[in-house]
Amino acid sequence: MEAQTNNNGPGMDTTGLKPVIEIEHLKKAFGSNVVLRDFNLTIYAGQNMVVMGKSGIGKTILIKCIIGLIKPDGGTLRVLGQDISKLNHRELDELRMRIGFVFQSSALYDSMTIRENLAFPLRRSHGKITGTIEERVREVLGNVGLENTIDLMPSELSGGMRKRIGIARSLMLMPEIVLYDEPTTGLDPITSDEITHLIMDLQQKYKTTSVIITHDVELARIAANQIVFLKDGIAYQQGTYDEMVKTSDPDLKRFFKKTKDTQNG
Amino acid sequence: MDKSVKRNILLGLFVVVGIVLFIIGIFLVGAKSEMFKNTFPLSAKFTNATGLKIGSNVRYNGVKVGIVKTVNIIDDSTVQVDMQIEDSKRMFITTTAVATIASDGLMGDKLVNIITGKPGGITIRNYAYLQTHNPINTEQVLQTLSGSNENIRMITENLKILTSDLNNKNGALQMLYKDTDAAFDLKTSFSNLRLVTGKVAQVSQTLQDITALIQHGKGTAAELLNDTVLGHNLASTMASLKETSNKLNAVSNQLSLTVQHVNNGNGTVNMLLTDTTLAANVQQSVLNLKKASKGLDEDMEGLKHSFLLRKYFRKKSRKNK
Amino acid sequence: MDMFFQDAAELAQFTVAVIKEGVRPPYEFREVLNQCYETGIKSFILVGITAFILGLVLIMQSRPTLVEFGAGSFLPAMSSVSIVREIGPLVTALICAGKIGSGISAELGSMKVTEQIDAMEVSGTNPFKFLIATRIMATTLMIPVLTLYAILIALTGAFTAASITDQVNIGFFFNRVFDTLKFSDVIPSFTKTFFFGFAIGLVGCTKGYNSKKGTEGVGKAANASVVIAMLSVIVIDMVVTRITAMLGYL
Repeated sequence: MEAQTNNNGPGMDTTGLKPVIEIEHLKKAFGSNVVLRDFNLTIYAGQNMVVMGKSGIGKTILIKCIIGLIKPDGGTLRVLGQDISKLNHRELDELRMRIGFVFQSSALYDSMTIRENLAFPLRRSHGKITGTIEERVREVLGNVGLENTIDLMPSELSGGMRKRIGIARSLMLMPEIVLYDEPTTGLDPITSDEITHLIMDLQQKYKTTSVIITHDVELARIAANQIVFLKDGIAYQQGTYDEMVKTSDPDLKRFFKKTKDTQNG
Repeated sequence: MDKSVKRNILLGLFVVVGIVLFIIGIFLVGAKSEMFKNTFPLSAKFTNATGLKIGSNVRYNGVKVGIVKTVNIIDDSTVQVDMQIEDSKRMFITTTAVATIASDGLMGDKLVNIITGKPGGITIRNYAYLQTHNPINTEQVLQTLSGSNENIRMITENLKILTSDLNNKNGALQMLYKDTDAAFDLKTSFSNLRLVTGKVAQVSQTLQDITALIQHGKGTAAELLNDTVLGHNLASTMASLKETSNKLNAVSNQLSLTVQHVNNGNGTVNMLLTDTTLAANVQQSVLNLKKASKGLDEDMEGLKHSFLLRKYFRKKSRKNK
Repeated sequence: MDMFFQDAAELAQFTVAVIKEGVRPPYEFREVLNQCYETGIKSFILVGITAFILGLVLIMQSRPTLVEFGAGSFLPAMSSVSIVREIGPLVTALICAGKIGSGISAELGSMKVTEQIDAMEVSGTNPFKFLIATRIMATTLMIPVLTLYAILIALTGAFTAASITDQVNIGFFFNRVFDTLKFSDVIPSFTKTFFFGFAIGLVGCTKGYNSKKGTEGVGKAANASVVIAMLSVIVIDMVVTRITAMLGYL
C-alpha cells in the first residue's frame, strides 16, 4: 500500500472536524544537531494521534514545542487556533490550561502530597472548575482508581501509580488536548496495559484530543486512530495502525516487528 | 491543610519572637545611645579632638549624660564637638562648667568629660559653647627648652673666650689690662646663666606638673594618659633636667664667687695673687658648664625620640631645611 | 577562570530575571511562607547550637589573654561587639550557605532533572516566580531573623562561659553587653544579613536551576552552590565592612 505523508489519513473521518493542532514546517536544532527539519502535521479534535519513532529522534522535543516549553527555530505552530510563538506569557498560560501534559517521569512534585500535587494546576484557574478543589481531586483520583493515596507523598507510590497520578493531574483542568510523553515506558506489560486502557477510558469519558508519544506498539495498536512516524526530522509516514504494520518501508517494518517481538516475548 | 496551618503558626511565632527580641535589643542599645530620651544640644571647641567619634560618651563628673553628635573642624586650630545632652541633666551644667577630652578606662574610647566649674554660673542654654580646658601644649614646653639650651651654649662660648684669655701665658698681665672688661663679661655671663637656670627650672617644673597629672590620672594631657612608657620617659627626662639645673646652679655659684673676687677692691692685686687659682677655677666652671650643656642636649635628644614629640621635631627639621 | 566568569554571568542573568519576575504580580505568598518555614525553622536548631557553642568558646578562648592584661572586665564588652558585629551574622550565613544553599540547589536540580519544573510551567505557574523568587525571598527574610536568634544565643553562650569561671551576674553581664553596643554596631551588621540571605538564595537557585541532567549534575550543583554561596557571603561581609568604615561607623 502506498505510504501516506498526507495529513488526512484514513481510519477516521476528519471531514467536518476542527483541526486543534496545526504544525507547519517546524524546525528545531540544538547546535549542529538538527532534530526537527521540516515537520508538518495536523491533528483534529477527538483524534488519538500516536507519534512513534526511535529514541532520541525528537518526539519529546515535538510535544514540548506544542506546549511552548521549547521554542522552535522556525515554522508555525497553531494550537487551538492560536499561534504559540505570538503569545505573551499570560496568553500562553491560559492556553496551557486547556492542555494536559503527562510527563515521561510523571514529574510529581516530591515535596507535596498527592492532594497538593493534583490541586496544583487549579491554583491559577479561577472559576473554571465547578465544586471545591477537594471534590475535584477526589473525582479525578477516582477516575484513575487511586482514591486512597490522597494523603501519601509521591515517593511512597510505585511507578505505575505515579504514572496514574501524573495522568490524573493532567486531567484536573478538563483539558481539550492531552499530550502523553511515553506513558508506558519503564512499566511492566501488565501495568502498561492498564495505563493504555486508562488512557482510552479517560479519552472516551472526557472527549479529549490526545497526542501520545511512544514506541510501545501495543499502545499504538489499541489507542491510535492515526500514527505518525517521525524520522530524520520530518513526519516520515502517517496512517492507521494497520497501514503502518503492512507497510513495505524497511525502517517501519523493522520498528514494528522488533517492538512487537519484545512486547510479546 | 491542618499541617500547613500549624507550620504557619510556628513560623509566625518564630518571626514575631525574633522581631520582638530585635526591638527590645534596639531599645536597649537605643537607651544607651540617647535615642529615646529628650535631649538638648551643646557644643565645645577644642584644639585637638583625637579619638572622639560620633556616638562617643559625654560624662558629667564621670556620669553619662549624653553622646557626641558631630565632630567638625572649624579652622586650623579649632575642632567643634556638638553633643546631645539629656534634658534631665541640664540643671547641673552651668556656664562655668569646663569640657575636657578624657579616656574611658584602660583601652576605652575617648569621651568628653564635663567638670563642674567655678561657682556662680547659670544653667546652660541650648547650642551654648562650653568652656574647654586643653591639654598642656607640649610644643610650647619644647620651644622653651630649646631656647634655654641655645642660651647656655652662648654663655659657654663667652666663657671659653674668657678662659683662653686667662690661660694665656701673659695671663696675669692680660688680666690686669683687661680687668674691668673681664669683670663685666663675667658679670654678664653670670646673669645670663641665672636666667638660663631659672628657665630650666621652670621647664623642669612644667614637666613635673605633667608627670604629676599623669600619676593622678587627671587626664588633662590626654595623649599622655594611656602610655605608661612615655610617662616614664618624661619622668626620667624631668629628673635629668633637674640635675642639669642643679649643676648649672653650682657652676653659677662658682662663677659668682670668682666674679666677687674679681670685683673686689683689691681686684688687681688679688688677681695677680690668685691668678692660677682663678684660671683653674674658671676653667673648671667652663668644663662643668659644658658637661651640663651636654646633659641638656642629651635630654633634648631623648625628648626628640619619644614618639609623642617625634612629629613636632620632624616638622621643625623640615621647616629648617 | 572560565568557570568563574560563567558563574558570574549566570548569577547576573538570574538576578535580573528574579527581580523582574519577583516584582510582577501575582505573588506567591503562601509559597513564600512555606519556604520561610523550610529555611527558617528547619535551620534554627543547627544555627542555635552552633551559636551557643561559639559564644561559649569565644569567652573561654579570650578570657585568659584578657585576664593576663588585667582586662577581664572587658569580656562582656568584647564578646558583645565581636558577636554582634561579626560572629553572629557571619556564622549564621555560613551555616545557612551550607545547609539552605545546598538544599535549595539539590531540590531545584532534581526537580529540573525529573521534569517537575516543566510540569509547573505547563500548569500555568511560572517556575521563576513560584520556585525561585519565593526561595530567594524566604532566605532574604529568614537569615536576618536567624541571625537575631544566633546573636542572642551566642551571647547566652558567652554568659554561660563567663558565669562558670567568674560567677558573673546576668544583669551585670547583659548591661555591659548593651552598654558597649552602639547603633553603628547593630545597624550595619543587621543590614548585611539581608544581603547574605539574598546571596545564599540566589546562588542556591541559580546552581540548582541550571544544573546539568542526571544525578551527578545535581550533586555538582549542590556542591558548587555551597562553595559559591560561602565565598559570596565572605566577600559581601568584606564589602559591607568597608562601606561601613567609609560611612564612618567603625
